[in-house]
Amino acid sequence: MLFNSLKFLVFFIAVFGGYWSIRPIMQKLGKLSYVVSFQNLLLLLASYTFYAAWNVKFLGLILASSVLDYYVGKRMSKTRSDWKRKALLGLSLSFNLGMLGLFKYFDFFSESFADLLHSVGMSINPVVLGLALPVGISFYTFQTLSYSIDVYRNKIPAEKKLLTFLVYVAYFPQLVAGPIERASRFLPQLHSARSFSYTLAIDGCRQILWGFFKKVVVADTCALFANEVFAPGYEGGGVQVALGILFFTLQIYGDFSGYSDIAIGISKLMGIQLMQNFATPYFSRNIGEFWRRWHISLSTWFRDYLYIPLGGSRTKPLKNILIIFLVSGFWHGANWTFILWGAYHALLYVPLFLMGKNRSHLDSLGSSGTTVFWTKELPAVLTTFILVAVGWVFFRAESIHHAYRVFLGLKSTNYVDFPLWSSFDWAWVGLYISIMIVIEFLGRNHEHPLQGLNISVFFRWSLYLFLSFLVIHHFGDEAQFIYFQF
Amino acid sequence: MVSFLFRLLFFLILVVGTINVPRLLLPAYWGNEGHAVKMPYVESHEHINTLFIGSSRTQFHIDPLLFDSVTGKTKSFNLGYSSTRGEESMFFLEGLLAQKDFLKNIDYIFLEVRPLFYDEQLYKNLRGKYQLNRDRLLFLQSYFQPINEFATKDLSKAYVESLLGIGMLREEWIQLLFPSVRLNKSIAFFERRGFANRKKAIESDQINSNLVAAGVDFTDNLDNRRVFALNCYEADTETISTSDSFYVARLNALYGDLSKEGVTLYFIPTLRFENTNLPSLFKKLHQGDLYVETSNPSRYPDFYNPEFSGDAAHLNLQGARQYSILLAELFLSINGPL
Repeated sequence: MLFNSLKFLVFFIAVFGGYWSIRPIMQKLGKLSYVVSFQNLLLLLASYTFYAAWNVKFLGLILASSVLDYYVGKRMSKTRSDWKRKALLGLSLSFNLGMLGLFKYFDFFSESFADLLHSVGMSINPVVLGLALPVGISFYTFQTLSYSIDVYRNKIPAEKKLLTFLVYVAYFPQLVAGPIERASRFLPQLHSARSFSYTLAIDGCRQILWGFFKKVVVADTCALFANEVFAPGYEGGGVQVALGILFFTLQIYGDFSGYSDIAIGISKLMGIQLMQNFATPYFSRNIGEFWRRWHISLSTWFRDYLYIPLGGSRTKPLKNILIIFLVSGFWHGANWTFILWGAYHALLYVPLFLMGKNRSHLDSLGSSGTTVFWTKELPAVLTTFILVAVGWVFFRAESIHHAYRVFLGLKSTNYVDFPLWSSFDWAWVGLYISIMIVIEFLGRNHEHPLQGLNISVFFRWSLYLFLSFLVIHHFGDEAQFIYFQF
Repeated sequence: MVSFLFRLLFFLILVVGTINVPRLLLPAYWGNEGHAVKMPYVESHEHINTLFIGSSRTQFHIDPLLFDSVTGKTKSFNLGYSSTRGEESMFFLEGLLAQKDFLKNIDYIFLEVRPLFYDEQLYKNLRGKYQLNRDRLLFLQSYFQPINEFATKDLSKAYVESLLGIGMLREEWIQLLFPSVRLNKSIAFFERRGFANRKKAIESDQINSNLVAAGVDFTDNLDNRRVFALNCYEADTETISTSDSFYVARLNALYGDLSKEGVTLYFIPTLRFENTNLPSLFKKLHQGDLYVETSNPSRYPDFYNPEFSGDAAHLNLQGARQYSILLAELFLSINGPL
């Protein structure tokens, strides 16, 4: 059930109506103390229905993972024995990572091992399971793992109620592609009854609108172009390939940040705040800043649960940086291209780290004055953008050889037009991209750009109307979100 | 909560209301733009007594001047238009039936017969709106249901979207802001009584001219079509699908209704058809005196010859000349000379 489908619209209207009816009904019955439980129960049923719409078989997996981590957390909180706590954490880690490994990485390792043996003259038939990847497994596994680790570290108390914990793992707006929430932030919101907040709901609607615009209008339109260039065997010229890379760079941002905005906005309508996942990453002035702004919930996860435990910046920082980027790449998929993508970013990040500039640019873009913006910041933003765009080639390519072919295509002087695109199509896509860039720039210091638009009511409403037209016009194709595959 | 819902509702009403602004400002007719441009010409020329109705395979294949020069008894006009679908032509004829005064001048109508195909995108443009009238929708649903399991749902969705005005949003606004954009194309081809030259059409269309520049072979699947048509004619089956039987029933009803108005309807199978067994469908149609088998490659191999082709689906000017003359001769063979 995709957010950009009518099925989801009907589903959400039903859930929204039921959810906010609980309090008035309980009030009438004089059972206000039951509001929290019923609200959580409804969220759980809705979340499992949402997930079952993808694949009902994998519901057992998410349930098993949740129940295990719930009891692991409970047992950990009851024991003071260090080895028992370690054993319990080990159980949680091995189950969750084992599950991820089995479904996502087994075939890759098996085939890579066979290739390795083949290269030294030994030949074996790799064992290939060919299992379907459960939707969202990388996201909810990391979410539930963070809970076990936090309980182990005594950062948070173990959750007492199973129902609450099940909702934490399976909460439908962020279940299949994040943001990867932290228990310390999320669970307390489930402990008290949610009351409808007009301000939060309106803000949620704005964020949903902006998310849909980025996904349905910008990303899906750019995808038409990018898919053509990244199709294996594409023989276009350098300009076309460069444009294809640019369009994929915009597509992946529109797609994933659009999804996050929709998820966060929907959650706001349910009275629950999720963490910000993107903060205008393409306005970053170096790679360090980019990684503070791109997929924030995952990069902070790796920072807190991998980089710092490895020793962070104190012990062997370069090795730790390399590990975190490689693992981050590998998290996205079992393919050498993702590992190469991670390695490429590590390569960009290390020099910054060595120069002590990885934590620079903590201020907002443009806050140092107009001259600095035009002479220093804008060139830095463009350079970072180009470096990031080059990295996306590895991310998007089917194989390393394919990525190499795409780079080779940049040098090509072939002229192959995009036959199915008229100048009218170009004008539209140019308009969409311009709108996204301008509005994101104007609202860059806010959780989402429509939150901080300082324009008159008339222009604001006109903008909402215009964005709604564009979304409605493009709505209905139900194109998949890229990050659902991870 | 209540104030939030009111505000949301107000916004949705505003969206739907604004979307519908073009409908208040645009003229009522937003169906087939080819018909929209060509019909005023026909209506203002009362001597025209013969019409050709169909898709680009009518528009680019039948030259009315040539046809008339052979028959000597007709004053014909080509109402064919690119991408006009089978159901669209049929609905158009139904519209003509309601115009009794207009039909008084018309003696013959040649209708290109082509089985319907399902394409969701079609119902999102202005042409689609033309077909999303309630009765037509019901017909389409019953036609497509056995072929495409999603058709009923998709068509219903398209119908609701059309009622709200959101289905053809961009096209209506473009039409309002730049009124000439969509109609220019048909005006450009409005030559020789509605007949158009395929080569010119390709050159003046950006996407097609891009394809020419990219070196795309326009006739690459011509032979596949020839083989397919040959197999269909050789198989000589009598069976047609349930869906096509709806189509046939409606076409035959049209034949009867037009006869009552004094108009003879001739069915012409679309040339170079693909996917559906057109010959078996064609046999179920009321043929009157004229049975046209121009799509049969064994009888008329020239119409599958690359030398007479503009592209895989269309004849070039030379092919169109042959085709128009053949049609006129067939017509003369049953109606006799003047």
